[in-house]
Amino acid sequence: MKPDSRLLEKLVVARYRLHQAKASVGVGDRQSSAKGAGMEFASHRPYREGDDVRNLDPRLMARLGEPFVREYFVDRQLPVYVILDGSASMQQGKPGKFETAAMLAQVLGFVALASGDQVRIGVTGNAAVDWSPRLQGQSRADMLFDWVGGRRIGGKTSFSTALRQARGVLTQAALVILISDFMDEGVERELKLLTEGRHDMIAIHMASPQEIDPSALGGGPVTLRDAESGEAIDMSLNPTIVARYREVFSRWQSTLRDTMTRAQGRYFFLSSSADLEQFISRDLRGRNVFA
Amino acid sequence: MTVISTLKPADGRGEPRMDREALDTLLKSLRDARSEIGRVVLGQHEIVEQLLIGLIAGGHVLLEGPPGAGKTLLVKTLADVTGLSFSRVQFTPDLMPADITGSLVLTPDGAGHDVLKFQPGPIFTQLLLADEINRATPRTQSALLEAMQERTVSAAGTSMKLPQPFCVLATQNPIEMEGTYSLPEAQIDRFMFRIDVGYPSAETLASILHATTGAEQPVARRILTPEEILSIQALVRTVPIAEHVRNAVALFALATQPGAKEASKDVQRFVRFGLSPRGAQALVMAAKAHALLAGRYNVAIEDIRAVLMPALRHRVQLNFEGSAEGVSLEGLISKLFEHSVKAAS
Repeated sequence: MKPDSRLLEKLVVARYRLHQAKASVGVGDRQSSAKGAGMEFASHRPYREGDDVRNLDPRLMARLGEPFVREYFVDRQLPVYVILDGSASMQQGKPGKFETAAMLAQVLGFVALASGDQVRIGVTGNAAVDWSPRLQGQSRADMLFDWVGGRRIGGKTSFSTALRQARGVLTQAALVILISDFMDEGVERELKLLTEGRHDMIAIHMASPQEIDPSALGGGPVTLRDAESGEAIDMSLNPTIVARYREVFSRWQSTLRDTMTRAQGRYFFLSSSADLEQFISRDLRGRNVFA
Repeated sequence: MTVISTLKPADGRGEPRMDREALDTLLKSLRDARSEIGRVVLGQHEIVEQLLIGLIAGGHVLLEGPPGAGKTLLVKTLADVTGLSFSRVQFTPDLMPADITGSLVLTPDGAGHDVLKFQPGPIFTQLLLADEINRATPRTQSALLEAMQERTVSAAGTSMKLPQPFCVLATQNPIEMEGTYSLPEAQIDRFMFRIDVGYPSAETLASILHATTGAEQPVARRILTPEEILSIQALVRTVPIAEHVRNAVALFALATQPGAKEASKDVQRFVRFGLSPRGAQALVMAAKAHALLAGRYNVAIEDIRAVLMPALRHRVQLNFEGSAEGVSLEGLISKLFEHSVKAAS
């Protein structure tokens, strides 16, 4: 399934805004901190053997009698990584979380392509993170959509294990977007470690309507089963338990939000039944994820 | 050499009177040039004709096609046949604007001092081959904007005129290829034509293999002079266009613009960009050149029809919905044009 073409049309001119990550790969149109062939003047320095004579500053040489080269900031692409949780728990709920998450990953990957950045999507859940090729240019949008649409999901590898693996790939400061239900005990620790890489981090926390408010399931005895470990708990649903569940769920959201905020990252919450277009225009655009 | 001085102003009616013999000589040279290019570049008759139309209409041409399809050979052969001075710039990701326009250098003045002197770049030529233009970033591509529109280059604090005639022939690889960047709309609109160069048929390819893998390579003879090109360019401008044809182009241009009240529902829904006024001018100029090359001294609807696709396929863009719905850009353009012709007559 591909994103709605009218939504994509609105995002053709969107561009990710950054706090700390820098454009660092390929050749693009974002100013990087590297110096070389570029358009924006950076500084002068004395000529050294091997320097490109094209960069000699004739005015400075005429004035000082010494050769100096002009240095420019190189324009590069921002590396964007969208890590999409494809583990079994993401298939739970109605509508399923993965379907909405995959559509969102496609749209967020498209924003990177359309604005001239380089994007890679990683789908977790299986033994190793399944990485897409590095894609760039709007003309690769269909390739990206098809790649996400063709993933095999439902594996039992936890999201924290996948994030640990991903750290080995995220060697340069990048924009890292995580889309997951974060139902994993060690995930906060991995998030903290990931934020040490000076990435711009965005966490999109997915939950199904039933996970947000279990009262719709009715009352009485229920068996809750972990989709990945298979562990089961028998319990009786009643208003007190539901109220307590809501409290824990809310505290958990706060913990994730705080973890992200401390690392100058951003936290968003998304129900799998939410209107994706509204989430993108009101939440993501409204909070300057892209302009 | 034939000069345009044989053309005289109108007898109060705006129509030029001309020396028939001079006109015939010019047109014969033009047709000979077409044949001569065709002798070296095999099986590309329509493309050669469109390239010549672009040149004599004073436009710039973008050639799109996969590597190895003969785009560069086509341009070099055109330079040989027309005698225009020729430069080639290979666009790469690290190309800088000064590599195209030129830069200041310090040179000895002979009196023991060094002086700053502007060293013109490869753009100071009559025929510039911008090879693989979309391998450079859009910002570098923009270095050509002023030169293409104003025929001037601003560098070292002054504005310098480029030699006349001046024509940019750019080649680009299909944007689906790795390491390519889309040309910005402002840049792409400055090309009069986008000509699609595909791979030849088996029969043509066999002829190419025969002609190019032997001991002798075909070399194009010089048929035209730069002065003759200028004369033909001036002549093209004098080709009259009937009011109803001009009105049809104006109606058509508006019909392609999704924001115009003349736009159909299909255009509003499926088109991102329509034909700009500059695009409409290019369409008329190309049609005038087409008429002249065909030996006629007036623009017929058929001339507009003949240059419609190369003049529009890079300017009118479908949006995502149009692409997703499988809308045919060429079909839509043709339909809009025929509708505009009917409305204007």
